[in-house]
Amino acid sequence: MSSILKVDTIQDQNGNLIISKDSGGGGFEGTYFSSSSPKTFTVTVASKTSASPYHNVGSSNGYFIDGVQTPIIELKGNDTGKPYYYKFDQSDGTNSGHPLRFYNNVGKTTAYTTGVTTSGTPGQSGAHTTIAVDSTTPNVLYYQCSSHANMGNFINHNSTKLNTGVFLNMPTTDGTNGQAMVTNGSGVLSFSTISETKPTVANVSQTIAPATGVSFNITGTNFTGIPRVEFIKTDGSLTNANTVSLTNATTLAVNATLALGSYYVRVELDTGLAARSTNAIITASTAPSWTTAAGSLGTIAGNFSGTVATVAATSDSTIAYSETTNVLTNNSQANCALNSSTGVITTSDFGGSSTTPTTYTFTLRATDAEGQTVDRVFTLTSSFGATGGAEFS
Amino acid sequence: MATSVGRNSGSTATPTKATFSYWLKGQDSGSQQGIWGWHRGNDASNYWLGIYYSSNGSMYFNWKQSGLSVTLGTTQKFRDPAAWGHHVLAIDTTLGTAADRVKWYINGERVTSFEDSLDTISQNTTILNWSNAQDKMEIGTWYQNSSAHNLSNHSISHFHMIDGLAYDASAFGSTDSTTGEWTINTGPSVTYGNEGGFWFKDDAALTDRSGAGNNFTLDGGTLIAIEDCPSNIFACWNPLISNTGANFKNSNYRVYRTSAGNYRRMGCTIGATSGKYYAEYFLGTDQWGGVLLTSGGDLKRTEAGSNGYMGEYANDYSVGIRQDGVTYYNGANVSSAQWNQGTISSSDRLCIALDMDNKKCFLGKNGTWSSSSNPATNTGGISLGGDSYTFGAATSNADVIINTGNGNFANGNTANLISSEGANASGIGKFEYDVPAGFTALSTKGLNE
Repeated sequence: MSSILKVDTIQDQNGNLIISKDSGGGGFEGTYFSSSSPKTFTVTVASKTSASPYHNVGSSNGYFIDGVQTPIIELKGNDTGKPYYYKFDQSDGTNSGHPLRFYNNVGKTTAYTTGVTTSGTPGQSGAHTTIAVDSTTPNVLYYQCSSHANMGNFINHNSTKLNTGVFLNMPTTDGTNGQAMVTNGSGVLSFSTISETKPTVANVSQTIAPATGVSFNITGTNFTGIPRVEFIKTDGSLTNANTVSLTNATTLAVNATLALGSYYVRVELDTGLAARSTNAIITASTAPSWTTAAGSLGTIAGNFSGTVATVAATSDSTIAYSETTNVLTNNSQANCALNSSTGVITTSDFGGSSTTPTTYTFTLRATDAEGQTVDRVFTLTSSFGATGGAEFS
Repeated sequence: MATSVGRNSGSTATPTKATFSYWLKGQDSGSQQGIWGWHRGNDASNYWLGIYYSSNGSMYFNWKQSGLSVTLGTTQKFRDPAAWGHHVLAIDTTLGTAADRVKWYINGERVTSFEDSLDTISQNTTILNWSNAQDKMEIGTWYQNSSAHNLSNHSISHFHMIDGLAYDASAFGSTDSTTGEWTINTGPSVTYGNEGGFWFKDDAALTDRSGAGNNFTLDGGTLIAIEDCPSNIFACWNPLISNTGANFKNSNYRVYRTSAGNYRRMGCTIGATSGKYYAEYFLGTDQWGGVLLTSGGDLKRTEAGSNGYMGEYANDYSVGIRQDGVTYYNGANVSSAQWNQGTISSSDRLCIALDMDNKKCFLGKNGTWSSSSNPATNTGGISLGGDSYTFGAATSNADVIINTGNGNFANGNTANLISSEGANASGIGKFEYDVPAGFTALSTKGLNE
């Protein structure tokens, strides 16, 4: 391309000389620099001048590449199967004691040796350091004397391997939406889903006795270590579990003393990861208890109409009464009705069609607002009175 | 002739336990009366067991057999003429506590106060009193030595004898949870044993309803079927109203005096301030029926010793109708307005409907209401000035027998059962004639209708 400026050297905006190879013929490498036919830079050593960015820094000497003092060098090569070879020839006697090597930074913290071969003794014929450049060669490398400071500069390479002070291999494939780039610890980056193994607390409702230490299980997932378990009352107040022990990854055995109320459960692992139940799953409530003694509620005249008896139970919440058997409210048996709110048992015809004394045995259940239940067995007996007798005149 | 029933033992059993349970209505008469007992016909001076009234009104258990003579007498007296009482006598000689070997329950409560405490009964003593074919169980009489002590003017219902087991009162009754009353268990779950039985279950039949076949035979008198029972007590004449010279018979449904021309009033054991009640009367010659105030008025005069018939006095608000049809109300003769049925003969029945809801009294004879009155429609009748009434009578020298639903007009041993039961929509009580619509018997059940 005749319109493109063809130069072998050029200065950057800071006045640094940049050496790049334009092999002519249109701005692209026209020749493959194979291992047997590398691009060769002639290296010599001489005192640095102010033309070097490291003048008066480190060694007073500097490398001259193809006669240019400490230039920035641009290397090319991308196909890992076909690297381009660049040979830094140190046969010149000025190189004696100044082996040229590649590093991650000016300070030479880490030597870069991948694809780098050395041969001979600098200053002697045939001595060189050669680097094979491909897509894994870092975008920046610093060429320096392994024995002296600040004798060289750096090379550029249009690479996916970045030298940020550490060498990082960029992913070669894209990740999925929301993934992040992670390292394998050896400078290899890849896209990966970032996740934490948080615990969860199952919404399993339980009711326990209030104001006393009660042992029960909290179920969930990913429990580890000895988690901290907190009970968060619906008014926001906190109560810690008395004791917590890990049964397994899905079960915690806890003991807690909770005042009356409903509580969310928060589990915090040793790692700091935590979870809270989405519902108030623990209810501290006193179970209902019967105040009406078990057994006979009385003897009721057959065919009686009216209130038969009243049963009662106590609780710290509203109680509903029901029959678990099918006797009291069975039309073919006691033929009564049970008021679920008041416990009043009524009938319009006690015993229904029965005409003989019968004891009806049935079980009533008191259920509180928290679903706690207590059952009790009662009896009602029908009586059919005498209808006559004998007079002894 | 005194009424009694009996049956001879059919076994040689000698148990250590026995139970007797029965409901009894009546009162002590001031003389010894046997209620029931076993006695040995050919050795009457050595074997008896039973219960009787003493002359002081207490009730006694007396048991005599070879080597044993036991007496147990209650402190309490039995003078309520209107109440049915439940008696349970449980013998269990196996018990370790001697005082427990005979337990007596009255209306569900064990009697613990005795004027004659229990004599010693050796533990495990066997009962010999129905082990011999000569041993006889009787109800309505009781033998001590060879002397029979008969029962009169009493009623018995649901008599159980248990041979071989001792039950307490709860086997035969229970306390009503609403009223607190001791009530009958008409179907006790008991084992009767060889000599046990269940008699007078709602009637006067001699049949043993236990299934053991231990039927009674009538030894004397007349056993009269009654509707009055432990579950429904019908109003009867009230002997507790002081009425000098009055005689009460047939479970107090019959009253008479023996003083010609000197009437004194009598009221029933139940009164009412509301409701509608019906009764039928047998009136002896010149005797009176009617209604009167439950307190004050004519009854007060009677208790004060004053002679007179019902309706005789103003401001007593009584209605009286004499057997010949003369009718008075509140001091005035209202015969012409209220009675057009003529004489009430011995075969007739005076019918009285007492409407306390409308404060009226209706008179009729043999089911026909007088002077175009009709209690069912509140037509006619005599308006009453008082608030609380009961059926009444005024007697001088003949009987007044009331049927408040008891089902008879018994006179001594003549049962006079109603011959053809009238319609009675309430179902309470038995009457000879139709009970007016809306009316019922004056009884404990009738009051609650």
